[in-house]
Amino acid sequence: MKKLLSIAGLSVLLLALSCESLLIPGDPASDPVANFEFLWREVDQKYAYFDYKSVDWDSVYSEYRPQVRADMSEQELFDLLAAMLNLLRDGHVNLTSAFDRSRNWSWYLDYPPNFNSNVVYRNYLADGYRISGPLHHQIIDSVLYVYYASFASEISQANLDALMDAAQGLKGVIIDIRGNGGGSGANAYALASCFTADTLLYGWQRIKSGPGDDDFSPWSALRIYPRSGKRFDGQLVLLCNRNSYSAANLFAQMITALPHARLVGDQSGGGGGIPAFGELPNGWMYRFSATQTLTPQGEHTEGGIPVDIRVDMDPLDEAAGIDSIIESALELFRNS
Amino acid sequence: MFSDQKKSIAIFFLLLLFGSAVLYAGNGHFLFVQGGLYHAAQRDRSMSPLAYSGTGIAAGIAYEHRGHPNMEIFQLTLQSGNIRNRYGNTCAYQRFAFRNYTFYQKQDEFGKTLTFGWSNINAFHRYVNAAYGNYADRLNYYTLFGPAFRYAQPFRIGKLHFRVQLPADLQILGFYLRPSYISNSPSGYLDPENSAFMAWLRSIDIFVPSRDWHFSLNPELSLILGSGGRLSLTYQYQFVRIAKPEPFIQSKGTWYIGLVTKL
Repeated sequence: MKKLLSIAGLSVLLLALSCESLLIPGDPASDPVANFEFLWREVDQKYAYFDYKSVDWDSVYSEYRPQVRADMSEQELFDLLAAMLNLLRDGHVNLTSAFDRSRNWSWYLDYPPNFNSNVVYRNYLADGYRISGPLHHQIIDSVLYVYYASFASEISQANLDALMDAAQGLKGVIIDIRGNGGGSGANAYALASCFTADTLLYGWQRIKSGPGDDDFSPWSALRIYPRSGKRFDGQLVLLCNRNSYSAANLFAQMITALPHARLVGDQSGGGGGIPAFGELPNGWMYRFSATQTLTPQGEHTEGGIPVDIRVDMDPLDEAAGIDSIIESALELFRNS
Repeated sequence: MFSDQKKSIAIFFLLLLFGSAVLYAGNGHFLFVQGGLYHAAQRDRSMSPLAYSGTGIAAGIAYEHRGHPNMEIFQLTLQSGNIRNRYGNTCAYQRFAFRNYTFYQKQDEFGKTLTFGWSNINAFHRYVNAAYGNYADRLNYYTLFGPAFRYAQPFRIGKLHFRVQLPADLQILGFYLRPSYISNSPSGYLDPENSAFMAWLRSIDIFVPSRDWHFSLNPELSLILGSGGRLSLTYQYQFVRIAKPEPFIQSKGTWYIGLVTKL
């Protein structure tokens, strides 16, 4: 009997302990008010650019909180939260549900496109251009023209070797990141490191470290180190437009640190903050900038990197198949 | 840098286990090999307000020394799987832990035993949120110490010898490292001026009993084999709550089938 009691006792204990989830408190309420409060507070405590953008988030609460109703539909709640987030004027801010993704694209839609991929592919890359991974390149007037459409496309070391081989003996290199909406900073770093023989400081970065407005980590130096393999030490021109965003913006920042490089076109679109992700009690995902990035001179890069030579696409040139910005870059090499 | 630290600590514990095995080789020494399944439920408020839960595989190796008066157990475990929230978003989950018990055993090992001692647990939890483009990793580490007890009750069914035992522990002292407010780097590592040691020192938080919790219950049913080894079915339950910088809470149960060999 004693044995049976022991076994029975053990069995009951094991069964009781098999309900691991029961000891975790339930998920928070998921009504419109709870979701609004959660999102507003997360942004309030973790968003990095309130001061820079002069956004009074408390007054945003006062304006938007009364609009939240317990009986509002999911679509209505989504639209309200999206409108609230839109006040941050930040391309790194999104709210994502199964039925929609909010976004702020004013950072490039409010400006001239300054890029036409048909003109580039038909008249500059043209026939016989090389495809080294995501890097599409062609030699034009003894200058290597490189088009990189997205930093989300990974560049391998072999791709970089191919690019460096193609550039050897030429007058210079033009890298075109117009329309490049970003991706991985590691790709930006890998490409930039091909164009310096020295370690260069290109900026400063810090991250939110607590809920207070001024709770940030100390500034960390951002540096480019020379690539250990093949490099190109000649003249470099970077082409940007307002649609060069996030990692492309970071790449433009790196290139400004190179003494033998110039930026041509329109200033980059910005996106200097690295977005942090989260989810609401109802499962919707969000992201927003949680870091700040400065140039070595202490300027925020959130609004973009200014160019050295400002050039817009001429509509008449474009209609004739001429890219005014590429032509300006080529002219720099002809005159050098 | 943190990855290197993790590797170093893992190697340290492996050496410790190996050293212990060599030191105590002889009669009254047992080697466990365990395999099984775990089910974990957790909420890390720094990552999400939602609970994540799921099942995965678990494996372990342990060494037990029964001497007089002490009984010591060293256990390494590795667990891997996925956890998901109620909306289907997933995290890849891994846990690596080293645990040891020392019991001050006064009675014969085949007799009914209630003994007390202490325990130590050192654990990494890592989970990566599939939907987060940045700052998707979370890595928790803790080293804790606390009192433990073990109740053992042998019994027979026909000619078969069995034993049930229940080791349990409550951790009350120790420290932990957790991700900083946004990123996976512990806070001390965010300051580039900190040396590796100072970064570590400024990253750790002290485990405060009642604010932080860690306890485990590990009932085991064993069939005693003629060789002196045993075949065991073990359920290891663990509850952990760490308060800072944002609350992390986990409730996890692991079923192991193990073969225990007498060395």
